[in-house]
Amino acid sequence: MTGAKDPLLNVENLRVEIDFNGAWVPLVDDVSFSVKPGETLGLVGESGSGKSVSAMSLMGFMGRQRGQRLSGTAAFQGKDLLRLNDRELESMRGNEIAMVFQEPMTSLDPAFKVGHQIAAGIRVHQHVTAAQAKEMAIEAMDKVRIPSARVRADSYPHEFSGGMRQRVLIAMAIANNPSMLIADEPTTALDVSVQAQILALLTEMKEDLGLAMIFITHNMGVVADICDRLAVMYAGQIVEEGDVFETFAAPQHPYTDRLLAAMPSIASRRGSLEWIPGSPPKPTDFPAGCRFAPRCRHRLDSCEQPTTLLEISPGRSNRCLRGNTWMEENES
Amino acid sequence: MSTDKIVMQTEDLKVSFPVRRAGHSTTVQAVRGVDITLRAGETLGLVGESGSGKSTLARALMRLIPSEGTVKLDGRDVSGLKPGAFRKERKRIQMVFQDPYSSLNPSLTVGASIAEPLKVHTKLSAAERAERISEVLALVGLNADYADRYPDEFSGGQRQRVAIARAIVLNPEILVCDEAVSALDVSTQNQVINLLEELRDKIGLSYLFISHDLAVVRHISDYVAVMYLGEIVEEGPVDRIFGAAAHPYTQVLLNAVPVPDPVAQRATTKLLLRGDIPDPTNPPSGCAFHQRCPFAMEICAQKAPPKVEIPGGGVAKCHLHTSGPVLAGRAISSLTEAGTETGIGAAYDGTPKSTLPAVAVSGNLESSL
Repeated sequence: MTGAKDPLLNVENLRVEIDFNGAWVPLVDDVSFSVKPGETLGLVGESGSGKSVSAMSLMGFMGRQRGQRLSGTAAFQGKDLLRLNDRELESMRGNEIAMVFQEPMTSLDPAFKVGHQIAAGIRVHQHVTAAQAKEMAIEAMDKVRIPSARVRADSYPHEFSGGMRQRVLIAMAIANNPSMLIADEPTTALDVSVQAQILALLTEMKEDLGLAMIFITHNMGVVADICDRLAVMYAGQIVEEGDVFETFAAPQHPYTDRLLAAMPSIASRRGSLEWIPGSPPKPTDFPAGCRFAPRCRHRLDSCEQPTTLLEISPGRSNRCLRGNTWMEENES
Repeated sequence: MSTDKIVMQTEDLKVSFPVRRAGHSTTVQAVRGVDITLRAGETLGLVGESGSGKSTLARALMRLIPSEGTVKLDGRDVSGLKPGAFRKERKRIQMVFQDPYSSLNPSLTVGASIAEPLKVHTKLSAAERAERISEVLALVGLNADYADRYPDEFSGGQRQRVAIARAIVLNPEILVCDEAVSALDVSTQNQVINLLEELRDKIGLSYLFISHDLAVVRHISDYVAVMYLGEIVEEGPVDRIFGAAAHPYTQVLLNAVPVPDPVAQRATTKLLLRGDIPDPTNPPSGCAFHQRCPFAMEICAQKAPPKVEIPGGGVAKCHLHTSGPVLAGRAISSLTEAGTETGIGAAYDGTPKSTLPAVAVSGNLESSL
């Protein structure tokens, strides 16, 4: 890694809480990460680990309603995303940071032609005529390889397959040339062969347009395919963060280690599949010390202490209180 | 653990639904002549993408929807049986569904849910039922006192255990698992899979395991069938299918699964299919895959390919094994593996190769680059 660029997005101590029967309960806390221009960060973890909540709070969709609160900073191009007012949020969304969701079925309005929907998004941010916006929409559809984009612009969402609908959403997301894309499980609802097409498209987009991406997924195979770095979330916190190749080769946190070991492989058959005893704690019962400790096979009494995400080598961080001393206990 | 005893077999099973398209009534053939064989103690993995007909096939086997063709249970043709007569057979074949949140009645205790099949199919007394419920709860790794609790007190993985307990309470021979672990996180998924494997050995179950997750299918199955547009295009022993796929569609499907290893994943040449599964109300002529196949020949549009036996076990329906560059059962990868310059990826990129007839490659696939 030469010529380290300044981060495009720098999140520090993000904390999102909700009012639960009169008490503030943290959904995510002490979440810090950064994304450089053109870089793809994978935010991975199981359901309920806080990956979507983190992303949604950056976009202003979470933490701002009644019964919710937000703290920390998210520096993005000279602004703090967590402190934008509604008008500033609106001009940022879709324009500087765009988001693609999991469900290509429900993210489009069934009553409007897709070209119209993409054009509407363009006209929110750019002073162009309806005709110009339509041309730009067709261009965006072309970019995401929708065949005969000019004709398809006049089709309704139900006339598209799931994969094509996801392309429409990506077209919508890139139509205003954002510098960052947040993709929340964009391929989870798709068949594998379609997922492969969308991953190839996103890889192409990030290279051609220099897009930075936050890619939220629970699928380690997808992370291995598309991400440059990954941040592993557990019970509302990042437990490990680092380069994808280094992390897969030698995970530093026992949770990452177990998660990777649990992935069934298409290449070979093992005796029985690995699993982690117990289940993740609910936000109302987060332990005061290491949140993974109750399920961790390397747990010591000292693991009851609060944890911090520490940089262990350039570009790699780990939240395990035992550092990497647990590794020698792994398997005889 | 599999023996040669066949517990279930279908012959030319067909399912069609009436649909309306653009104001016209027509039928869609969701299952188009499927032959499957399930042996005692064996797990048959059924893979395919959405719209391939795998869930419809499962529903037809359970007689939840009408079908044509033959279904034999233990060698006996049950397809002609009236609903009342089939009811007796239904306890031999039970099903576990994908969503443990909607497959259990929230207003019934777990015990009451598991008791229902016993009430319908057996004459057990209340005390005997309670004993049997504790037995199956123990089998799926749950406490006997959970019987008095309600589904909302349980996690997704525990609910799926309850659903499995309910499915095995009648001592069936066959369990049809339709995406039974797809809604679960990986650790929970693995526990449920380990449980299914344990039960197979302990009480001698056979599984029809339907899943879109090929890594899971690789793990649990003895034999695998690949469905495309209502047909089984290839089937065979799990190691042969995953090691030497004989049908181009199988190969694409396996290639599309991202592996959790960035070095291997990025070194793989990606084979990307263009287009989508064709409209089932108007399936293509000849081989249903020919419009998307990088190796399509003239014959593929004209004639449906016959079943060809593949060395190593199983069959494939593909003209490549009988016509054109004759593969005669060899793995599809052997077609282009010979020269490094014309590797298999190049074929899928639409680059013509001398070994193939001119019509073979016409840019049916998108470049992955």
